[in-house]
Amino acid sequence: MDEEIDIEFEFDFEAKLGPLGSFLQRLALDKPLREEWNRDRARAIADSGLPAGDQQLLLSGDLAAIQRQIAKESGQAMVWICIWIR
Amino acid sequence: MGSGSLTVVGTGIALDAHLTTEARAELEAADVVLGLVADPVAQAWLARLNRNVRSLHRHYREGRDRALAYEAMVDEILAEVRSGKRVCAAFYGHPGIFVTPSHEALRRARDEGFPSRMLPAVSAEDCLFADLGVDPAACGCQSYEATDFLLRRRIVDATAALLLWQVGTVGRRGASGEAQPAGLPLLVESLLERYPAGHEVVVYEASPYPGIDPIARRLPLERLTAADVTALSTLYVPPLEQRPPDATALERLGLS
Repeated sequence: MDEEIDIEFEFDFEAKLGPLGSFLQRLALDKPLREEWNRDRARAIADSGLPAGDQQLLLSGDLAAIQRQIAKESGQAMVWICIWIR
Repeated sequence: MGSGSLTVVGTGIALDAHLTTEARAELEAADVVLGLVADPVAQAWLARLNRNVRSLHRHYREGRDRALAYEAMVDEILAEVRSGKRVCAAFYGHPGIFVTPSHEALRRARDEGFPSRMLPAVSAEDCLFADLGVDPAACGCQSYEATDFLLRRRIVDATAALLLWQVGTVGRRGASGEAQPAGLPLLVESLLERYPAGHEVVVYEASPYPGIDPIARRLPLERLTAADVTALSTLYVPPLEQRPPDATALERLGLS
């Protein structure tokens, strides 16, 4: 049996996203930005106003590293949905 | 306040790009949204759709048996329905695929006479077929939860594709914030009884962000280790050789 320790996976709906998370949310919602991204990704990243480290992450396309940075800058956890096996 | 109802929706994998019109309408119209999505960006996006949104994540505890967390989630959903609200429960991906509390909440709400339904959505499996270029109809496709696959010694047809879900938590019953595939060596051992050591498998994770590529790590089965999997990884095992058609069946069906 795993030991239960008191760490909550709490998401705060009022919490602000960091720069990278905000940019990716904008990329999902802003059609002109997404079109620019699809046409010239390097240019869209250069024009993003993101810190150099975040721009490097986007250029690398490393999804796992991007997710870690989003969690870190927002101070929130990444949580996945699982089924319980009976 | 109405007499209480429950609609269970899926948010899809990639934010707005995957949300159906029907699900959006429910999310926007609900008195309260109880959400269980996978990352902070999705959480912030969900809060834009309905101001009265609340997370179900607080029921997870590191190491706590997930069954207890799911029971608490169901209780919270049902309490809102019983109070007369139009409740929308929103889950990451498809709400009916690999989501225990969605099915249980619906079952109880129906038993208690409340109008209840589930809406379909884009699942991680849908993304996998698109991203890896796999057609499940080509050779057939088997799909198992990784721990269940081991515990029940599921029978595999190696001439059909095999999908193993939740390899990032294989062998663990508790919740965790990171991949902890304690049972991965046993899983590889089990697969090596059925597939050659050099058989190429794909560790896959759909991208939750439009414009960002998914993870698709190809490697020989024998080299698969914990370092290769993330918390959300799915293992795709391609089929071996195509199974030849049965001559008798061909003849009886008039297809020979």
